[in-house]
Formats: sequence, C-alpha cells, structure tokens
Amino acid sequence: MNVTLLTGGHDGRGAPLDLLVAGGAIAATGADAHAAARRAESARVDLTGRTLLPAAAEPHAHLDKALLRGQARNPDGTLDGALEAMRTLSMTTEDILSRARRAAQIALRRGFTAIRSHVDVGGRRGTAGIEALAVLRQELRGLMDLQVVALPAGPLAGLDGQPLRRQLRAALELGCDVVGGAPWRGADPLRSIDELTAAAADSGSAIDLHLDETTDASVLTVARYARRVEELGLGGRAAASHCVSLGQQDPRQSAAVAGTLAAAGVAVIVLPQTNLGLQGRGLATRVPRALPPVRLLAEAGVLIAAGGDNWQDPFNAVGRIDPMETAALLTAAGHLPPDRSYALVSEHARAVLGLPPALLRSGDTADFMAIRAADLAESVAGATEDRMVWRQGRLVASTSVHWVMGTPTVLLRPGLRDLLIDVCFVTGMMTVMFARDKADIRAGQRLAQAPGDESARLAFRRTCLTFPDGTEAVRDVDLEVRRGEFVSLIGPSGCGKSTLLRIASGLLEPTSGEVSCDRNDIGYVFQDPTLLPWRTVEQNVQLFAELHGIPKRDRATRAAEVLELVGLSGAESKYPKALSGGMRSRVSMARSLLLHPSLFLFDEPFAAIDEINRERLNDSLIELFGIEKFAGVFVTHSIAEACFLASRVVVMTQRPARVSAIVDVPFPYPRTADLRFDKEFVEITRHVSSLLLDSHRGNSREASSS
Amino acid sequence: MTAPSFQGDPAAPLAPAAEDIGATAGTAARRRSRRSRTLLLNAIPPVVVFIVAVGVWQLVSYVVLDPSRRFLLPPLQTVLDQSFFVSANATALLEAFWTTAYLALIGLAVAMALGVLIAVFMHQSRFIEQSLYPYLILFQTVPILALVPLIGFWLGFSSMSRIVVCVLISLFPIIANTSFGLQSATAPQHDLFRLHQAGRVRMLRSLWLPASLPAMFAGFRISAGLSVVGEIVGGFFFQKGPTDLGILINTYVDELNTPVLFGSVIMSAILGVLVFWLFTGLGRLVYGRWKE
Repeated sequence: MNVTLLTGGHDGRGAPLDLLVAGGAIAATGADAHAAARRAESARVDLTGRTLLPAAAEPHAHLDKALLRGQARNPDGTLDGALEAMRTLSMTTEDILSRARRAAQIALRRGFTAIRSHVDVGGRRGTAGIEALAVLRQELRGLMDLQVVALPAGPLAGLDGQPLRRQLRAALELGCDVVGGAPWRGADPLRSIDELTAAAADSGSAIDLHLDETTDASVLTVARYARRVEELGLGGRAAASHCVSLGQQDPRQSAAVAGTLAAAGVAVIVLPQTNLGLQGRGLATRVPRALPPVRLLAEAGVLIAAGGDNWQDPFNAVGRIDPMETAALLTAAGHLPPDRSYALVSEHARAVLGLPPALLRSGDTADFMAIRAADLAESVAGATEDRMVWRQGRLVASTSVHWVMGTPTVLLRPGLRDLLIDVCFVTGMMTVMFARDKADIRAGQRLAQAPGDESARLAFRRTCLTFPDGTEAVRDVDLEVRRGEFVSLIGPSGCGKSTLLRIASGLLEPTSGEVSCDRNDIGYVFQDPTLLPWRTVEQNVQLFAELHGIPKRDRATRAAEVLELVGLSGAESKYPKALSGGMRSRVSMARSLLLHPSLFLFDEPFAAIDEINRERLNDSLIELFGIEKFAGVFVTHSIAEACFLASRVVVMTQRPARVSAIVDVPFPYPRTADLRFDKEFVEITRHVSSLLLDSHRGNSREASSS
Repeated sequence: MTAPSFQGDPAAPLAPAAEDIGATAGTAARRRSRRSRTLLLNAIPPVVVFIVAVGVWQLVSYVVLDPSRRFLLPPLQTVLDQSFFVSANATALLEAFWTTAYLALIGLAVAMALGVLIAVFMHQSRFIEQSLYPYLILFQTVPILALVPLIGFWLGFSSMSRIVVCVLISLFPIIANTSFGLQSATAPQHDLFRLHQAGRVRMLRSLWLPASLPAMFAGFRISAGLSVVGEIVGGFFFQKGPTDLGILINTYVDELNTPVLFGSVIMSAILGVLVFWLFTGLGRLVYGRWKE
C-alpha cells in the first residue's frame, strides 16, 4: 500500500500537524502518524512552512463557458449582454473540451479536487457541452471529481418543450448527475420549477437550480422551490444557487424563507464573484446588496456553500478560478470570518456535492492542500499560487513560486550577478515545469505516481560482467534504486562504476545475473557532452525525441522549454563548435531532460568542471531532482559531491567492482547549500571517506567477511 | 530609484557591454585588415616562383635553344598569341574545354553516386566489405591507361566510353574517403543512438552520413581533378567522338604545333583547378558551419 508521511506542516490555526496518508485516507495524525510510519515503510514529504487545509470543492461552475472571455464579447457587462453574446456564438465539442480542460487544470492547481459544473443543454449547441464534459470526466479520473448539471436552455413543458425534454433525457443518459435550470429567466418561473423538480424526482437525480439571480425584491421563487422539494422528497440532494433577491426582502420574510429551506433540506449556493457584479448595476447611489443573507441563512440551519460560478466568460470576465478568492469575497461582502468563509468553499461545498468529509481528521478522505502560508487567514488573504494538492492520498498538482528582488545597485558585484543569474535559472526551471498549461495534467499524473511508485526503476541482482579478454569488471552486484531515490556510486578510479552504468543502460550485457529497468525511460548523461557537431544546439536537444518518433511540433516546443530551463535560450541555432565546455554540458543535460525519464544515470558529468561551478551545478541538479523525482544514479570520485546529492552512497571495491558498503544520507530533499557545513553531514562524509580508504587498501572488509 | 532588474546598475554592467561592442567592431576591422595583409604576404612566394619560371622559360627559348629548334619551347608570348589570339585556335580550345568539362562532370557525378553507395554498403555489411575490398585495392593498382583501349573495344569510341574512363579513374578515392568518413563517428556518439534503440537507417541518416561528410568531400575534391584527367586520357586514346582537349592535344602533337599544344595544356590545368575549387567551395557550404 502507498504510505506517505507528511511532516513539518501546520493546521489553519498555525499548530503543528503531521499526517500519515495511506490508501487514499488519512491513517493517523500527530504522534500516532510518526509511530505508524515507523512500522510501515513510508515515503516522506517535508511540508515545512505550509498550511494544511481541507481541499476546496467548487459547487457551481460553468466549465462549458469557462475562459470564453476573449471569444464572446460582452462590452456592457450585463447578464442580458452575456446571454446575447452566448446565443450568437457557435462552439464545437473540441472547443468546449479544450477550454473546460484548461479551466479544470487551473482549478486543480489552485486546490479544487471536486467540481460541479452546469452545462447548457439545447439551443444552438444541443448536447455538445455534455459530450465534452463526459470526455473531460474520463481524462480527470483519479485527479478530480467532476459532477455535471444539465442546464436546459428553455421551458420543458408543452409541445415547444418536446425537443428539449428529449435532449435533457439524453443528457441524463450521457452521465449527467444533476438536473439544473434557470427558471427565473423564463416567462413562467413557477411552472418551470414544477417541471424541473418533477424531472429530478422521475430520474432520481439531484437538482440544482439557478434561482432569483436579481436584486429585484418582487422576484422570489425560492420559497416555491423549497415547498416542491419537500413534497417530492428531494431534500438533501437539492440546491438553490444564487438566491440574490432573498437578500432584498424584509427581515421577517427572509427568516421565514430560510426556515422553509432548512426544513426542506435545500442547500443554498452563494456566488459572490458573479453576483456582486449585479450590485448597483444602473444605479448611482443606494446600492442594494447582491448576496443572499448568509448569516441569517446559517442561523436558520440552512446548508450554505459558496462557489465561483463564471470563470472568465461573458457573464464575468474576471473570475479567478480560486477558492481563496471566493472565501475572501465572502469575508469582505458577506461578513463571515475567514475560517467560516473557507468552510463554505471546502467542507460545505463537499457536503452539497454529496462527497464524504475531508477535514484532515484521522479516517477522513485524504483530499487536502498544503499552501505556503502561516495560517488559514494568510492563505485566504495572500492566496499564493504556491500550493500542493492531494486527492485521495496522491499528490495531483504542485505549483512552486520563486521570487527575486533586484539588489540595491551599489552592491552589485560580478559574484552577486552570477548568483542572481542562478536564481533566474532555477526560477525558469520551476516555471517551465509547473506553469505550462498543456502538459499539466500529465505532470500531475507523473507527480501523483512519484511517491506511490514503489517498484524499483533499476535493479541489479547478482550482476557480473567479465570482458571477452578475461578482465573481470563487475562481480555480484546487488542494488535497487527506486523513484525519488538518489544513489551515488563512489569507488577507486577504474573500478568499474561506469561499466555498471553501461550495464544498467543496456549498452553492455551482463555475463551473469540480472538487470531490470525500462530501457525506454532512461536519461544518460556522459562525462563528455558528446554532441553531434553537425547539428545546431536545438537539433542536438531534439535528437532523442526524434529517435522516439515524437512529432516535430511537439519536439520544438519541448526543446524550447528545456533550453530555457538550462539557460540556453538564444543559443538554439549555434553549432557545438561555438560553445564553451560548460555550455556543451548544459546542452547534453537538456537533451536527456527532454524526455523526462524516470531513471537518470550520471557518469561523472561534472568531472571536468571547476569546484565552484560544480557546486552550483550540484545545487541545480538537486533542485531538479526535487521536481522530477526520478530515480538517480550518480557516479563520481568526489566524496562531498556523492554525499551531498545522494540519499544513499554506495562505496565500491577495486576492480572487479563489488558493493563494499552502503551509507544512508538521511537528509530530506530539497537540500540546500548550507548542508555542506552541517556537522552531521560532515561526519557522514568522514565516514564515507574512511570506508573508501578501506576499499582502496585491498578490500580488507570484504576479505575479512568472506 | 531604478526599477529592480537583473542588469542592476545601468551604469556599471552596461558600460562594459557598450565598450565590448565597440571593441568587437574595432577588432573585427583590425582582423580584416590583418587577414588581407597575410593574404598578400602569402601571395608573394608563388608570384616570385612564377616570375623565375617564366624567366627560365624565356631564357631557354631565346638563349639555350638554336632558333631552328625553338619550336621545342616557343617563347611564352608566342604560346599565348597563337593559342588565344588566333581566333580559329581560340575557338577550338574553348569548345574542347567545354566538352571536356561537360563529360568529366558527368563521369564525376556517376562516380560520386556509385562511390558513396558502395562505401555505404561496405560499411553496412562486413560480408560485402570483405568480398569487395581486395578487388578495390587491386583495381586501384592496375594502370587505368592500360584499360582505356580495352574499354574502347568493348563500348565503342563514343563519349560514353570516355565517361566510363572518368568513372573508373575517380571511383576509388571516393570509396576510400567515404568509408573512412563513415567510420569517423565516435564510440560515445554511437552510444547515444544505441541507448535509444535507434535502427540502422536512422543511424545512417543521423549519424554515419553526416559524420562522413568532410571526408566524403575530400574524396570528391581529389576525384574532381582525376575525372578531368580521365576525360582527357579517354579523348587522347580514342581520337573519336566530340572534340575535347585530349583529341586536340593529340592533333597538335601530330602537327608539331607546340605553341597551341602548350595552350591546350594550360586550358586543362585551368579546368582542373576550377573543379577543385568548385568542390572545396561546395564542401565549405555543406560542413563549413559546423566542422571544428
């Protein structure tokens, strides 16, 4: 089972909170988690500086219209303007799918692990939106729960409603979970409410209607809806979205309706980002409030959730796709303290969607986020993008933020400038890794695999190699390297370490014993950069992608990404003869990075580089390892380098190479340059050094043990 | 306050940059003038040799040789005057020059295609290499001159036969050099492809052939000169078909017309130099940008 221990984080109030996640649920918290982690073999994730919050859920989105901002213009910003813009727009299923996918990916990165999306049915687009969302739901399996609400475009009753009734039925068959509708917009809202509730009762689905989305106090259909829900026994799976005019009634009237809603079991979904836009539209002063009376509803015992509604579409061009934004608006305009606001976009939203609770308690579903903030209030206020998101115990998205400030100009010395350039290098690396939209879900899946993928990426079992001339190079090596592990091989010169890498990569076959690894998924960085002189930098970087038959356009974008990553943007069309040794090394690194291999073999890649630059390259490499979580094998002569990079240092004997000793280097990743001066670390390097000396002195350990 | 930027102080790091640009512009100009100076210096020794050679020529012609035997080495101005300023001779020489160039280049093209193909097959298959290699060496040691009349007997004395002579004489350097080039890819470069299970065709296209280009062009350059020789030898022996420099040379020998004979030798030399330059230039175009 996939067991992960998350340490160093704290809860919304700032108190330390350690979690043990196992099998999709939270197995234990606090000291229990540590005790249980010691019993089971578990991966560790360090969450120092992060606040753990329950995952957000979006109870009301329109993914079929999301990110339409640029395509359908609504200059005056009114609801009618938006409806008109939508009516004249024709969209294909592909178009809807690609926008909905992008929006869902953004939402996942921001901490949503569940979305309920309304999708138009009927009108010009028929069931195209429903079809697109059905595909998206497949794509997001394992990453996010997606509920689809069929939102019919007109009245359902009578002869005119016949085609729409048919399409609604088709939509429900296509996998819609919820009956939706916007009855307040039609000619006879009460009759529409009757029809839609009847449809939900017939099909046994949940129901979620757009009700009273206006500041006009004379419109109030939500009471009728509550009565119908009660009559038809839809309580507990019925929701009323918007309910803006409920906030315009006199207090007694509002309280009465709230009582009815609570009794009927209707949840209210508040949508501040869109609805605050209705506030004072057309008025200069005496502006009515465009939110339902949140506190009053809560006091009456109504389940209230809050959502984002329109994600950058003609109805609202500036929805941010962020639970923190909705929570902040609820605090600012709905007058709830931040922790209650956040509960409306997480705990309560999940309840409305009918999902099991995920409140970071032992036994809860392991849906949560770790955001870089001191507590919940700072999370809501700062709304940093720096978030890691888990769904059912798997890391499904991770965003890193790096910032750099200009230094005061007088202090700028060449050394400092180099440092800044390095910081930019790492920042670029992060940005490319995480902020690209296209590859994001793929990246999410890769990250999700990282902690859980228990199988060894590379395993030697009693591997021996004797060259045809009789030289015995490798004898009886047993070694396993898993994903997320970094193993350094260190030993006397010419002892056969590199030979071991060549065996691992399949360039050499062992004479006896076994080697297992996926040969299509290896990055191999030689000591010599080995560029093809007749290819430009860009063409060199694309070489492996060509060998694997990756299409040209994809190749070019990937090459641009990795070249930016290694800081060679602008050198694309240079030939190797025009590059310095360091630049050639970077091209070689970029070439292997392009395929994002899960096993990386390094054969003394920095041996010919001076000490200072080598340390800097090591820092970058460790940063990269923190991101890509590959299985790493690094051959080197430098003890300090071996210990700094590795989670395990393997000391080899003189030729024939055998494993002489294995030393654990128990410092968590990401490691920083300070580690080199850590007392315990220095102790470990000393230990490795003495072991190495032993193996130099004619393998005394080996001799005495055998 | 200046905006934060990675450039930092606009005065400090930018100033050296500006200086840099100035410096590169300056050194570029200086480098150019230095290059032209070395070119000039390099030109002096051959010019001196030329002047000495012409002096010796004229000395032999006017002083050593009895006027009655001066036809053995006519003075230089006679050679130039007879060859290039007597219109009938000049026209004949020029037409022969074009014919020679045309047939030699066809022969060379065939030899290039055939030579590269054979080299690739030999590189791909040890069996083919082992079966062909001894005969290629043998073929190279056989004096082509001895084969030329045979070719005439077998294929007739048309221009076709002359092309075959060109191919025979220029084939070997292309095969030898291309073979050498195909083997010039280094072991680590091979590893790159083997790591990713690349097939033979892919390696041929992306590794062996590109790596062999410089050596291949060295072969082309040598064979370009040889193909001109082959064409002239063919014409000289066959004495049939379109008039080329070989036929003209034979005619002028028979007529003891030494001034124009020298003229046709000069024309042959010019053609040889031209094709050599052509392939040097082509080679530079193909691999000049990347060759270290």
